[in-house]
Amino acid sequence: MISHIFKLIWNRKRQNSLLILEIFFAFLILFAVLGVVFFNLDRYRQPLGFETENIWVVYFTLPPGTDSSLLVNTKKQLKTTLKQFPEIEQLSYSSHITPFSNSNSVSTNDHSGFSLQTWLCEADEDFAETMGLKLVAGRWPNAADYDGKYTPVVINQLLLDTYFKDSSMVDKIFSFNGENKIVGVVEHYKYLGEFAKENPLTFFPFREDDLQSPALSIRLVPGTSADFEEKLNRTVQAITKDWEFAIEHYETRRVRNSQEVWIPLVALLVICTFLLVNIAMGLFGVLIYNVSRRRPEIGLRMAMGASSGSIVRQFMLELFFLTGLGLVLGVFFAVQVPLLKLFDVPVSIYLYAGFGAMFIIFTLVGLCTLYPSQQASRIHPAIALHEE
Amino acid sequence: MLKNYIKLAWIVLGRKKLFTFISLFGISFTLMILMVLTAYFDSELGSHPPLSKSDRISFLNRVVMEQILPDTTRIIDSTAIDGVMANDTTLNIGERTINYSSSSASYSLLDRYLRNVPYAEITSFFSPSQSFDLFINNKKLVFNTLYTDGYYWDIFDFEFVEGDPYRQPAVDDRSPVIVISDAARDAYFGSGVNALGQEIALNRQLFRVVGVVKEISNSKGFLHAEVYLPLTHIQPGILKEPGLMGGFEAAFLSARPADRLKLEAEVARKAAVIPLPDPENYNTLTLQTHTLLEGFALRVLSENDKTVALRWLYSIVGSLLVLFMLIPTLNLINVNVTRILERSDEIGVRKAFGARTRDLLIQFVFENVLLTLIGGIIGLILAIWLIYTLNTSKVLGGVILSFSPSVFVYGFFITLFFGILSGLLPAWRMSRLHVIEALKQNAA
Repeated sequence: MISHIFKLIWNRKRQNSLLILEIFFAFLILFAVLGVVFFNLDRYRQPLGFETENIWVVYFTLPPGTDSSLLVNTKKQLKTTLKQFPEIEQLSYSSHITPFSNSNSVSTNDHSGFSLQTWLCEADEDFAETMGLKLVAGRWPNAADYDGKYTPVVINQLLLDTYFKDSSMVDKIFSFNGENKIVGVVEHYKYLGEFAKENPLTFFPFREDDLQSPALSIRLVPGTSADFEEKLNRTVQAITKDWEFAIEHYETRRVRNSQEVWIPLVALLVICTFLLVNIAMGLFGVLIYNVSRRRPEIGLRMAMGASSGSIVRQFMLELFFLTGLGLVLGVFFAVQVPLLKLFDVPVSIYLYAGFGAMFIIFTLVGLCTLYPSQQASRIHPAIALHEE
Repeated sequence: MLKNYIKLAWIVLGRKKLFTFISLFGISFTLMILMVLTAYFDSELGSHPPLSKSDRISFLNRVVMEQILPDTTRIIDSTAIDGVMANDTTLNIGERTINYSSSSASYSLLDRYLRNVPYAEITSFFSPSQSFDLFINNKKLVFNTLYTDGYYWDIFDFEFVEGDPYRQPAVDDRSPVIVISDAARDAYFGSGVNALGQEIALNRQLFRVVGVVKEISNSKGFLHAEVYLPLTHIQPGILKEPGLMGGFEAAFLSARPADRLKLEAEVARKAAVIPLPDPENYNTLTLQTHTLLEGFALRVLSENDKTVALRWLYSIVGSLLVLFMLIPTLNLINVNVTRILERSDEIGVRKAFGARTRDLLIQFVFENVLLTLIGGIIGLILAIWLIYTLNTSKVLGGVILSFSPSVFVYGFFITLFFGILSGLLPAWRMSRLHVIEALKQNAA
């Protein structure tokens, strides 16, 4: 049976080569598209680790040469004034490295041969409550910790897993730009976006007297109406005078940030789907035609006693074999991508993408063959041979 | 003759509706996507206002400070020579970057060193800055700002809906004048209201509108804003900040496109004479200039090096286009081969009556081109519809696609290319068919 199918394919090698080529390219495209999609979904699966609903943020830009005591006083005054608003649940100062702000800071510390790379964030004592961070161990530092001998820091679970596997680091001293004490571990904090990679992260305190332009995250009582923003704007302006500022909503920023990834993804999938539909229709047309051209052959086979099931089987096998050839060719090229380590992507993504692409192509080919081969099996031998 | 061909083609297309539908579907969809893509690249990189002079403009928006140290690595190879271990030491002297810091430039850096770069006809400094929140009828408006000098309007030819730009004297005098976009005008004053001479309060100061420009795609931070202000109105102190890094960018307009590279070389040379503020941590300064296309590649791929970014952009776009066009072409060839095989009787008869191979070839290709042209028209309609939908729904985040005549011309050529390519192989194969063979097949 197999060798027979081989012969059939070989006899029509010209047209079949076109088909194989088409399958080959379809596989490559599908492999690439699925790879990109799975890669992003894999990242999306990791929780953000903080809330965005009803949380706003005010970004300040200080004029150059702002007096430091004035800065401390203004910051303090602003926080106490806003805290009294019934609409505001909690608020917290941090550096401008905030969720979805597209800014980040990385540092590598080489401490007697132990190299540690961590992303850095700075936030004050109310940050965990404001952002709804989930701590898996320890606690978030409070104002009393700030006066201690060591700088209180919070790390994320990933940093713990990467560098201090299998050990609880809470209350341990952690050398990084000086001596720090780890007071807590947060589960996740994917502040670069839903589709971003989570990195080892350390929260340092954002002290009152920090001269950086601050950002103020504000958690509102659920159900606060949108007009509150104008009131907030006026209050902030009255207190901060010549500081420039802008109010943003984390929820809007999250949506906008994720759109940058999912819009191209959807576009890619739509284009890919249309390409596949295109291929499927072409295949379908060619097969229908082939069946009508091969009527004499089919008629003869049926006259020799082949059942209609075996005719269907033969057609399907022939097509699957061709598809297989195209796929082997495609896999050969696709395998080079992980082998050459072209991208920093886990191998499982390649596997999922590869098998996913094969599955889709086989399903598609199967569906396209079904109707034409059934047509072929319905050919009456007497009529077919009579035509001959 | 031509009329005959068209008539014949029409009949053939109508005869096999399934194949015609398959072909048309593939062609029109592919062409729609290609046309939308061309429209995207045209609106991002094409030479139209405010970037009509884009082939003569160089941008500077990145100042890089690095600490580069010589790095010596010692490789010791031990080999056994005649049973005695011998060491072979190789010293590699390379470079190692220890500190790296990059940002846009400070105003003082630009003002002191890049005011008069040779080959630059016009030089403009500007700063995309923080946005203002305005509240109108309980609605929040976010106005993005761009602080510019007066020369900005000479390099970038914005389309003014109303009024005129502010010029350098107004910038020097700190005149409270602004240019706004028509979208900002519609949102703030109401759509179509004459905004000239009206005032807007920004940061406790009243500004008079002197001009209204047509809104542009927000993908280019150096062009898109709701409000354009003279840069002397920026927060006090920013213009005098001493460091090299800040929020400013520069654009240089050279007299001829050919001078652009010379200009970029001059800017790079300037970097050598600028003293570094912190020589202990940084010993190298680079001023990175780029063209519109390079800037696009840098931004889209978030790369640091413009040649690398450009190479990636070309290879990604190129391979995607090739792959994307190959599948429909292959499909079309496949379908066409089948279609033409069906007509072996016709070919046999025509050949028997003395038609030359060339005649048949031309006829088949012509038929296919006609088919692709129909597909092209459908694709064009679909593309216009898609561009319109994308623009109104703002799915692309403020990127405004324009359907310029050049897109149409590109589209036409893409269509033609498709038609000929996918028609040639099957037609060539069929036209070579032997008369007897063809007629025999018919009998069968």
